[in-house]
Amino acid sequence: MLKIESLTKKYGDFEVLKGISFEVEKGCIYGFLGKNGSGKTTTMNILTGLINYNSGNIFIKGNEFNTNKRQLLKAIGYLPQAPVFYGFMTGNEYLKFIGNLSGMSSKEISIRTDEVLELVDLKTGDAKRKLSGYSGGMKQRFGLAVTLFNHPEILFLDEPTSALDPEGRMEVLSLIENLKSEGITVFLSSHILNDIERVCSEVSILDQGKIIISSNIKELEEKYIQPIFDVEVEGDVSALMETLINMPMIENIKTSNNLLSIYVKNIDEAKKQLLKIILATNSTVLSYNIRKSNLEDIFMRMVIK
Amino acid sequence: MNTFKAYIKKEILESLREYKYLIITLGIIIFAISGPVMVKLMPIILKSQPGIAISSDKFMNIQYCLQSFISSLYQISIMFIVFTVCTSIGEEITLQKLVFPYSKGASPMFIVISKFINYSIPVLLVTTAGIFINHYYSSILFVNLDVETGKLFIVSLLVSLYFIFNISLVLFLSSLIKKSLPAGILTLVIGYVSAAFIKIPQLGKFVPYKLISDSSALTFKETTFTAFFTVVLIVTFIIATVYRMNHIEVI
Repeated sequence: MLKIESLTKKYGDFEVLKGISFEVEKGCIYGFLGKNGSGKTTTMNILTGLINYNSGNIFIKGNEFNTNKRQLLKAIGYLPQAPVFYGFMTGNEYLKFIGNLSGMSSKEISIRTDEVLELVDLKTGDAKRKLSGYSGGMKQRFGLAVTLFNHPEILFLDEPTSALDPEGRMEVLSLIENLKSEGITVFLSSHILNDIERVCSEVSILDQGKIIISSNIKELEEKYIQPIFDVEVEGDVSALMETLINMPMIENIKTSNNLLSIYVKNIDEAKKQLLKIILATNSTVLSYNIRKSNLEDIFMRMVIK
Repeated sequence: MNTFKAYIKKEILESLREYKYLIITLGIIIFAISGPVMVKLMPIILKSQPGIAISSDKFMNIQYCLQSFISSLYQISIMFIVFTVCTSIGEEITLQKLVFPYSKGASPMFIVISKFINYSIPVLLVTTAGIFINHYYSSILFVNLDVETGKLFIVSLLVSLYFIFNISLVLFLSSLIKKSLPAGILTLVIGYVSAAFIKIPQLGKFVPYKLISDSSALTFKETTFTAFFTVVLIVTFIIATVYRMNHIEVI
């Protein structure tokens, strides 16, 4: 459905994207992870025709993007992180404007307006209000309605849940899951890694303009997810941390107050040795747990080294 | 054509809701009405000023009222037009309002054309109305040196063409520098400075300001050439704006 080859983007001398390549299958929900400034939004903006790129190839539905741009964009829906509308229009008027842009008839526009407003849980009364008066959450929901309006085959969603309250977030995630059953391909970027873990089947992690991991989320779990030892000790943890960090079997340690999250290279060896080593430092252990790491842990390990 | 249909409706709705048509209309019609009255009152106003004498033969006539109105159109009304139009593209780019339309495959060419038409037609109509309103009031207040209806139509077309040239220029500049106010100011500066070149014999006929100058003098020597050349400039600026909007990064 979507194939990217060696995509680069420069702003002056600064290279935002350094030859990224990945492929998104039809009907897949694809997660795109990365720190702020890693190039996620730039990638989305390129793939939705909003900005140009320096080199590389983009294929959408097997067609070269640059030569068929306007036609291919009709199959695309994009929800930016902070959607902006014409504030003088009401919700209904803006949807009609989008319908007209997409070449839909008045009847189609009317039917689709009711459908998408119901889908994003906006009331008919809200759609009669001017868009300049919408709250952040309403704008995000309305943005999703606009994105879905012309029945796109590929959706690009940039942090779609960031401005929503927990209830709204869950609703949007359910909606994204439902899109999969309709055969819509979703390309989703989010800082909320739990969201990605919940809805995505494939994931890429972008760091400093390069894709450092691109994999099926199950394969990723098998390959990268390893247990973490959460150890809570009494008092100051700095001496214990100093002892542990120099040991060959330890990969990394993260601390939060008196809790240490210890990432190890060899789980079997750690199971046998770690507790003994900790007790040998005369530390008082309050709790000791082996936890299965999640996508957030993988992200922290791969990106925030 | 879907883009054109969608955008022309949007532009009309925006111009109505944000009083853009009203601002342009007021900026022209106020001077059309007040001009003849001010000319009539001028001797009374200047009576109190010692050392200033008014030749009533030269100023107290219909033709002078028209010249005075054209001067107001060139100096002041143009500001109402330029500063209303300059937000049309610049603001949409800087505030990222084009993100949804562009990502839905909207055609930049039809976006530019719909904006151009949305302002050009009202400006043509209001300028023509302004010139005829001005003539109507002038005819009530004065009797000497009447201007034929045919010439009024020619003047309306030439002044409108000059305004439409400025619309195309400000659309281009706002797409180029992406900022509304500097684009508006630059357009006015170009308009005012270019007036100085009209005196240069080989260059004068290429300057769109000649349309205003000839309209004011009611003499139309080589005006057809200037009108044609202004149309060429308008088309060039529209094409340049379309090219720019095709390559611009809207986010």
